[in-house]
Amino acid sequence: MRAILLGLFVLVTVLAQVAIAPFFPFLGAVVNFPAVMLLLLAIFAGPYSVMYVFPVLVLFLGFSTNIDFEWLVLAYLPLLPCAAWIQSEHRIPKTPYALALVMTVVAAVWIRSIFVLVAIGSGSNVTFGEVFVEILLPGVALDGVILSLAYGLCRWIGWPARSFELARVGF
Amino acid sequence: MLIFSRYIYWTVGMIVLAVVLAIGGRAGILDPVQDTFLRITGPMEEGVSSTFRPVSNFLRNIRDLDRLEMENRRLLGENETLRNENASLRGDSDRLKEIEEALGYVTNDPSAEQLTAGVLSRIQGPLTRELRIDRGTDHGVAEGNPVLSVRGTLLGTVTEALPRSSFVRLLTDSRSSVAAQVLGSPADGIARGDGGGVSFELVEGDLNIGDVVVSSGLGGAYPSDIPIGEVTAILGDSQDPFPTVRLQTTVRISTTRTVLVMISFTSSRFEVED
Repeated sequence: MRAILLGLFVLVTVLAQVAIAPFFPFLGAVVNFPAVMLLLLAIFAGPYSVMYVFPVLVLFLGFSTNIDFEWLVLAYLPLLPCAAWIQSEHRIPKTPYALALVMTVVAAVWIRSIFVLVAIGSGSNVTFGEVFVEILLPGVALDGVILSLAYGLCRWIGWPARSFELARVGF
Repeated sequence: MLIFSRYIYWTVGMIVLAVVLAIGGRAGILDPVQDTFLRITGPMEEGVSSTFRPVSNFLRNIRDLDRLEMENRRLLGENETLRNENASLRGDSDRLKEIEEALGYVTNDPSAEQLTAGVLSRIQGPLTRELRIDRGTDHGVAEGNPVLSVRGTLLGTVTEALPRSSFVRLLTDSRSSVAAQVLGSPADGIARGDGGGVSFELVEGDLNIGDVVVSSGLGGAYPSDIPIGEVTAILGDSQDPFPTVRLQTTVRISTTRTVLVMISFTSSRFEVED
């Protein structure tokens, strides 16, 4: 049952990315629902859930957007280990929300940078300034707003935030 | 360390999966699976899109109210001019038809084989703009087919054709470039997408605001004389030999729901860079 629910959650996220996000652009960026979904899932359902849904997400997203699978994996794969590393090694963000926000910024910049580099490799001609102002900054703002709204909603419902570290979730 | 060793196992597993999927994708093994997936999710995408499209349009129109008012005034004037031109052209067209018939001329217009397709979804990434349409190889669509608006303006090209749907790279995608020329003038250059609009890189000749830019057919990737857009701004110094020229496409790509695929035209030089 849990697996089916997670699968549906991934499908809804992918549909949102291709059917909703393009309608609400901010400068040259659109919200990255898969990244926000992965972070929320890691916080409220634990990192193991992310590990299970990740291949399904890559497959569905690759099919829907026609982006090559290797780029999707490269873009989204480091999020979870990176969050765990920040949490366990640095402990700078003291609250789960602060960590989620830091990870949103990291994810928004990293994922978009990967896709920009792929586009440049395929013939795009853009300057660093354009990428920063038109894509990265608005992307961070959009993802941050969506994550904050969703995080607030989940906390309001009463779901507790979990740790990104595997050891703390009983592995 | 224990934590990271487990993450490393998972990471390695995902990398292996990525390699397998990449090979499967390149070999075309996953195409039927992708086609089935898109066939199942297509109606859902359409349903979600149709729910959010009016909201998006409403917000965009509020933001663009001043521009839309100006555009409306401009279009009203243009409409009157075009009506007058149309009346005189209709007479010319009838006369031309008579002459063609008299000469036994057989038209070689590729528009004779245009396929109407519906837009299933828009895919927007950093610098990239694509569409997915509901026609594929089963309907005669092939990679490299140019895609036009219903009024005949160039929108983009088919980059991947699945049996029942296809992906179209739009002209506004930053990876798109079209050999182009100014209508009725020797000026030519390259029309390039920049992830939002279209610019024209002038190679030779002069142009003015209001000039219409069409495909030149050079390179064989697109047929000639397909309208691309109108020159709206020429940026840079008047002495600049290569000014930046902004084009306004005559079609609103973001709200286009029906397109034409020129299935009769096969690009003589088609290569999609991933």
